[in-house]
Amino acid sequence: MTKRTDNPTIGDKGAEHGQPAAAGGKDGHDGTERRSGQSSANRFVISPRQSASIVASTIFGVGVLTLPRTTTEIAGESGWLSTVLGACLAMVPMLFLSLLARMFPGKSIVRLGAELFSPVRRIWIGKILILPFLSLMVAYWTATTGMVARIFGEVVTAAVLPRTPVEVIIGTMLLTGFILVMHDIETVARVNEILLPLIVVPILLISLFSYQSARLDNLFPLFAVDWMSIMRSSLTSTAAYLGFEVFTLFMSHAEPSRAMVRANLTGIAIPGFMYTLIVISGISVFGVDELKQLVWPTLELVKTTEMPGLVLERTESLFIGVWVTAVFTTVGTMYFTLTMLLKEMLGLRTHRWIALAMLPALYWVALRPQNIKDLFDWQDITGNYGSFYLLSMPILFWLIAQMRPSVRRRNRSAAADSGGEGGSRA
Amino acid sequence: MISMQEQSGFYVLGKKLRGRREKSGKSKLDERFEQRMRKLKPEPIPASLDSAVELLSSGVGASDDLIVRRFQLGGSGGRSAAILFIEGLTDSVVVEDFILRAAMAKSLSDTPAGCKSGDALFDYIRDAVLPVNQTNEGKDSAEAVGLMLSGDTAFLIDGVQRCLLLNTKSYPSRPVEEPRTESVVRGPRDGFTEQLRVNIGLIRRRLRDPNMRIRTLTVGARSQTSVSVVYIDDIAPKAIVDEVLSRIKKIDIDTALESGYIEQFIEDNHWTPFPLIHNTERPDKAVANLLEGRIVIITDGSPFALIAPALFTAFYQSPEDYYERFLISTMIRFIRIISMVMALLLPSLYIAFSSFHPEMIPSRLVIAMAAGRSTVPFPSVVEAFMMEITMEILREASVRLPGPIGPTIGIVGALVVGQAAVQAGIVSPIMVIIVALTTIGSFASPSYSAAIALRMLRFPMMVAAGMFGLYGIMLLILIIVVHLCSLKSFGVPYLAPLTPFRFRDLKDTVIRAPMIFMRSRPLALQPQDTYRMKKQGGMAKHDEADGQSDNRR
Repeated sequence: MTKRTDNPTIGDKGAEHGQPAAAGGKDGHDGTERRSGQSSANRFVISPRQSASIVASTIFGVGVLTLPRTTTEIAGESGWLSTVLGACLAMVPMLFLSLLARMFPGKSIVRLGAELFSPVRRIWIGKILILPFLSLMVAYWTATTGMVARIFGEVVTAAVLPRTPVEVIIGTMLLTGFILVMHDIETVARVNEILLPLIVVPILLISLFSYQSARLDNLFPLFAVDWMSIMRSSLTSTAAYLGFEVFTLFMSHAEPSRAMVRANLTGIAIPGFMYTLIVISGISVFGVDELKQLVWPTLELVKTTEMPGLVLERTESLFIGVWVTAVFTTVGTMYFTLTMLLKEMLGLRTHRWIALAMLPALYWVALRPQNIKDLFDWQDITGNYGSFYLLSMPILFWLIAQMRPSVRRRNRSAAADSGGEGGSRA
Repeated sequence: MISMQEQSGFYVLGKKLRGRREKSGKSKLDERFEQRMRKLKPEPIPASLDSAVELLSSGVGASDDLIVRRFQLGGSGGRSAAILFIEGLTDSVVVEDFILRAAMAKSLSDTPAGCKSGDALFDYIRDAVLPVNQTNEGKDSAEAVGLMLSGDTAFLIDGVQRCLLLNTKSYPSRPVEEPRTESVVRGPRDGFTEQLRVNIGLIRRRLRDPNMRIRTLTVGARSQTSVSVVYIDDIAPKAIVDEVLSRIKKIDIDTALESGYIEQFIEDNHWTPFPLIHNTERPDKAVANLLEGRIVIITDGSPFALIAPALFTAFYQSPEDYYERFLISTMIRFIRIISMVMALLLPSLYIAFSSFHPEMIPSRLVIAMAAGRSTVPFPSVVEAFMMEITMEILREASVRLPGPIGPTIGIVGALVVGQAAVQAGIVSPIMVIIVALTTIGSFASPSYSAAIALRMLRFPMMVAAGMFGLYGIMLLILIIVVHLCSLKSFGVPYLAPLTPFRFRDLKDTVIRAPMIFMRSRPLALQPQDTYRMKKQGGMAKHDEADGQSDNRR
């Protein structure tokens, strides 16, 4: 952790030595590659696969329960098209974030933003200028984590544990997330990596089984609405892909390589594929008109499916059981990035005290909405503002980075320097 | 770094490295290590035989098992000498035939003229008279007493300020037997014993690799237990070897009775229920692990060798898997995984289903279950807890019960008590089935310490199921997964190769790939020598092999 804050000073030195720019850039790139492979012993590097898993399993959360309804509300029968377009839309900021991670190896959004917004030697100017952006992220993550926990609590009490108070469900979920947050970034990355298959495979199976009762003619006409509403619905469905932005903090440990960029885009494609499957099966099982009436359409979808062999009579409890994992990765990872962000903003050495302090805050936020209607309104607001902000911010940062080649160069040589140093230390 | 440590750090029993150790720079750790170990005040050996005998026997407090035998070199009229040894640690045949007989033989009077006295005589006796396979020289009393306590015989000559230590070690031991735990259907039947040397011999016999290294350290200020660290020099990662050695040196305890002591001192995390170091009684498993780049730690007095670093996947792996063909082995691994999941989850799933989600159970079964439970006065959590604890008591009792009675009582307990409990309406028949399956499932794990971890976790799992049903079970599973992800064994992530994911290592996890695909060693350990087979497929090409097959025909 402390090493990261050391990096800029090393970078400054490198700039003072004044090596040839072009050669420095090239070598710097090689240096970063080498470093990522070599220093795994003393500094943790998130592998591309872990990076993809973090993105995918964070995205996969509560959105899947309401997605068939929210997409068909605007786009009708072509709702599934909007999830595809939404995924493509969400890939744009993800791409730029990944490119930024390659440009600034070893730096998270806090440091990176500060460097982008400041003159070469006065980093504090950037630190102040970046504050509004970061505060927005803090607010967004706090709200989203709370909302996710709340929606989860509502669904669990509604579907499987009717006599358990929603507060208890929210509390236990946040506590479990807290246990994850008390670990370090390495553990979070591994947890996401190992849980992703446990989320994807059962949900894939459930959505495939639900095709038993599907009537594919429900999907037609394909283009019942005009293109504008499909675009509008794509924008709203982008909110279901929010969660990719946790990469803004994991990027400091990401492997600065092409494989990482590809992996991150895959990380969006995985939930994109699952979402599309679920929306298609939702439309084909229920039809658009019925779908609009359902509060938790995916849960209803699960209820219609029958398990082969009749081992279990009804599968929705099983689905909730699997879905706990999906929500846990979302809540846990967002909670983690939230505390890491605060830690870096405040310049603390450990994130654990912040995690403890945020626990009651998140609980309080989760209990703000008065009822499910209120909850959905909150979710819409955070989703809309969140998608607007998080779609634009990476592009903005990337553009600034393009306009300031000096900052970029400095980072490449810094990476090469620290890489060389790490090698000799090891 | 490593070469320096090889020379400097090790308290090697009865080896010549002592001299070299003094010269090279010692690290702080080594110094502290030696300070702890040296209990007696070292004093030089006096010239007079009487005072020398006095000094050495006072070293062990003139205990009654110390035998002092005085005699005259080369029969009557010779220079007086004495041997000292501890009865019970020494082989009396060696002492009588090869020390006393040789030293008292008349031919000793033919000693060359230059070797009649002092150091020359001492050297002559050591080099030309005593036919003992291993001799050492104790420079001071502390060293001499230390070696006597490990079974050496001290040889003192009047007028010589030196002490010869002759290897006469012979400990009471049991023969090599079939291991009690980890039994296999197909595979070698020999197991480790309590003797360090025998155990190392069992490994050496299977692995004639000159690159196999054995570093012996002493643990326990009082017990002075020898602990051997065995690894293959050009496979095992250096960093891990160094880490293991330095952790063992840091152990500060008076006695290490079993390898479990060592294990609990050097493991990475003391608060986890999961074993971060595996153990085995089987030499073949130890050798296989050495060849994968792991390090085997053998403790004198314990038939259980430790294997580090340990990975979670070894929970359900047995040496037998590699001896049987891969389809069968893979299927058996699946069976083991299912049985371990059963051992962990079955009672809690019963609680969750019967008290929170009865709608999930097929309707006919739910009627049968309800009928079975109709007389049971307790909620299913209490019922399950009662039965599981009873089962644990039975299991523990059958371990303690004397041999022949044990299994009988187990069967009587399980069958009779179970049947009677059902008839009395205390438990439901389904519960009996579940408890039986759980217990059998936990025995299917090849690793005992892994099975206990799951046995223990079953109880919190039942509490969670009793509170929140399936949701509680899932939460606890997630917490366990988080915990497992945070664990490391000597720097190697515990869940490797599942996470961090390594496709090439998957060949030996849930499945056991055909032998010809097992080309590389587990990469998670970062072995120095990656490949076990030079060529893909592990077989010489057909055209190369043709010539040989022709000859055979």
